[in-house]
Amino acid sequence: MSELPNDTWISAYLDGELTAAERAEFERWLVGQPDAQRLLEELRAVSQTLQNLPRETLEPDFARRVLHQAELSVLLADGKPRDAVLPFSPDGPSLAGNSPDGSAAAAPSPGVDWGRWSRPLLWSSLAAAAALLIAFLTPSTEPHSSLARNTQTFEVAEAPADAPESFDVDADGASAFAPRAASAPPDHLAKEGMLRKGAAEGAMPRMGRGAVHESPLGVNSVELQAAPAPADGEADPFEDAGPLSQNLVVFCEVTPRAAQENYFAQVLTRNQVAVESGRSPAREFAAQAAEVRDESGQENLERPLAETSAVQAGAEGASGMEPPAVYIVEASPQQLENVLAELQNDHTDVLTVNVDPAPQVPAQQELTNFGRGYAEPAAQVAVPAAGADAVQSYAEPAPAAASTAPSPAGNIPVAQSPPAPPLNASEVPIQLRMESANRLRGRAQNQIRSQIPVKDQQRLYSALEDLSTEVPAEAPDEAAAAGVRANRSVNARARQIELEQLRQIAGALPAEGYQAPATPELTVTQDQPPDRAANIAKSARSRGEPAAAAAGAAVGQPDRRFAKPWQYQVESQPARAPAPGAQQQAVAPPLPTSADAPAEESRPQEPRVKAVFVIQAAQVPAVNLPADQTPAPNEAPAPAATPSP
Amino acid sequence: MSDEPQLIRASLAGDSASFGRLVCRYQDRLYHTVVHVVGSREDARDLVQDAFVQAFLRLESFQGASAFYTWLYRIALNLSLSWKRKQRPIQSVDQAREVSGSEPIDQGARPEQNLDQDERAGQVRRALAQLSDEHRQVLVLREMEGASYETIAAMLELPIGTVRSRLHRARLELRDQLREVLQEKG
Repeated sequence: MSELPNDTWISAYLDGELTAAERAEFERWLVGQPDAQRLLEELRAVSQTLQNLPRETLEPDFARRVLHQAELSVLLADGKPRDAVLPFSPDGPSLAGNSPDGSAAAAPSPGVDWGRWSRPLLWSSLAAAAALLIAFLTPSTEPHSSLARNTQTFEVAEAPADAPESFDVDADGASAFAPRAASAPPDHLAKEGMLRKGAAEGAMPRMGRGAVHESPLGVNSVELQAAPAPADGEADPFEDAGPLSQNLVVFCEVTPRAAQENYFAQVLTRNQVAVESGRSPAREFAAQAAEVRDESGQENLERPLAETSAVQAGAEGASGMEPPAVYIVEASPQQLENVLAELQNDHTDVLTVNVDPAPQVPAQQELTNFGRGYAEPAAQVAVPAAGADAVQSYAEPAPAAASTAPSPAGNIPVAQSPPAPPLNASEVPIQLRMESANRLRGRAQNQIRSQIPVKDQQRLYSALEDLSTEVPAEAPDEAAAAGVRANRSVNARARQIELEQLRQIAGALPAEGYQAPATPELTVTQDQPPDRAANIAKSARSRGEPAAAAAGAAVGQPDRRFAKPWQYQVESQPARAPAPGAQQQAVAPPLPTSADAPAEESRPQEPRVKAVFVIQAAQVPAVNLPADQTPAPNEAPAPAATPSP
Repeated sequence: MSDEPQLIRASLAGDSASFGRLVCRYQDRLYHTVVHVVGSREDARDLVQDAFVQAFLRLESFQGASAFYTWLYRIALNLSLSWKRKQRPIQSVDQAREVSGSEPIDQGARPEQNLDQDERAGQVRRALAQLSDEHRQVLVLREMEGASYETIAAMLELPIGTVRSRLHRARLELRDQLREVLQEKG
């Protein structure tokens, strides 16, 4: 065989890696080379043999095991468990999340159970406890019958066949109550029972007297069955004075830190939602019940409550979890939507939000599951250029992005934000820059919040809410980039000013405790006051969430256009003279009650809705390998192309 | 594949489900390659899992200049090399069989497949295991991954000329190992 310019040309020709000129030369040379032709066929056979090897595959639950191991590594990176940034699913992931009807997804993908976190025993206990609390706290001359109705309800209430997956009142929960008179209507008071029935029977969304309501939440869309009047004339705690009688139960899982800092109370305060009943954890309600029991000596009341407490204690002991805090509120549907939207938008403190009743009504399905499946784009991934195939070298891990550094404004340390992404108008789209700026804003908020006492966070949050970094999508790239940069500098400056203000305020607190002033001492004024609902709607639209966007748009505020960053002026208030011997006390501001709720004189009277919020502090559960799962089909590479000579 | 940047961004934002989709997308492809690089299914499974975990932990370092799978394979390759350095000196297939009494790659029971085909596949794998690491790597990337010379050069951090020559030598060597198999097929 005569010499080739390069003997590797045979393999390169086989792989189609020769240039046009090289291929032409090789083909001319190959004509009179039988040995080379034979070698070429042999190498082609070798190539085909390898390509025809059976494909090796992994087991279906491999991806879940990977995520499990990865998240464990993240959580234990410091050598000790920390707040679950990536929550586990102790019962195995529900994968792609629940479908609107609550059934398992047809083609689930592996992942953390962002959706419903099913703990039947605990949730059923909570539901039972919530119902008991409502019945107990309602003035009644005969608590026994009320309790009897509840117990009867839980025993008799039947979920329809197509009821979505939710917590069930299992046998243990139901047996905790002593059944009483059987004469009470079976579904008189069961929240979920009533709502499921109403939903399962295809009740059309109606509001009060028959008007069709388009609210995506559908809080006022579920028609409850007409409940017969209580036999003993006792007030039904779920019976509203208004035209509507609905109730909503929301189960929300928050980080332990948020639970300790009364995060949800602050959410209610910001949305001006009155708390009808105290926020004490369930165990405190049980203690209150015990006091009443001791006072009245009513033996019949003792057993179910004691058993409820035992169930809760058992659940707590079994899982090591703090009992949840139960909030019973009364608010307009719009206020509840705002609360739910705020919970859903908080990606730091809120882990899961589950709204019950589950949606049989299509209008409810969009807001059924507020799980963390809604991804917020990260700020540090540059969009690769089209067709780029350059290799990214595998570098050693970068040092931790967040580090604590002394605040330039004073002694309060402020964690450094990760470096901002590059603002290159030719590469990074406006949307990514907007989201990056919002991401930085959110991080700044969280970092400041972690350093500020609870009593001051409410006002700080209100002030930071005014710092919007949104820029209109239609703005030219240059203006958008300039706007983002300007907002970022404004945020930094405003943060410094507000930290200084808060330190002054904190130092001037009276010794007897702190009462939130009627007007915030720290006010931020700007040329165009932002509209929170519109901002929420905008943010929702950017994430492709029409329901929340519609909720915000329903407020009726116009979509503002900002051509320039706002000019902020922080008005400082003279520090109050400290009382002699004053000491700072971490006292949470009092919750707004019904008496303190601002009168909504400017708006037409909206129907009031009762809602129960069960706030559970998350916990890093024991490691459990999840069950089955069917991953998406794997992608196999196309066989290597071998051009024929 | 077009949603890969979105999945990565979502993963960085804390959505593990998005990273799970990436795992599902590439797990078998990576596993198929790593199996033939390391010569053991069990070890390949562990290495692939470790590679995905490392990718998850260091996802922020992925700049997006290359395809995600390219970056992922680089991680898996580094782990494979580290793993091999910790292994005892490479034995021949016959030596390994004598020591352990079993094949390095367990064929497993696949009743639905032709036994001749299984045996032939086993012969091919054994022959592939006889190649040097450098030759096996380029050959697997080319034939199993369908990677171009440029991609192979980038993955292995080699000049393209080196990739071309190693690939040619690897094919010649494997041809010699598979003469009987190739003659049966022919």
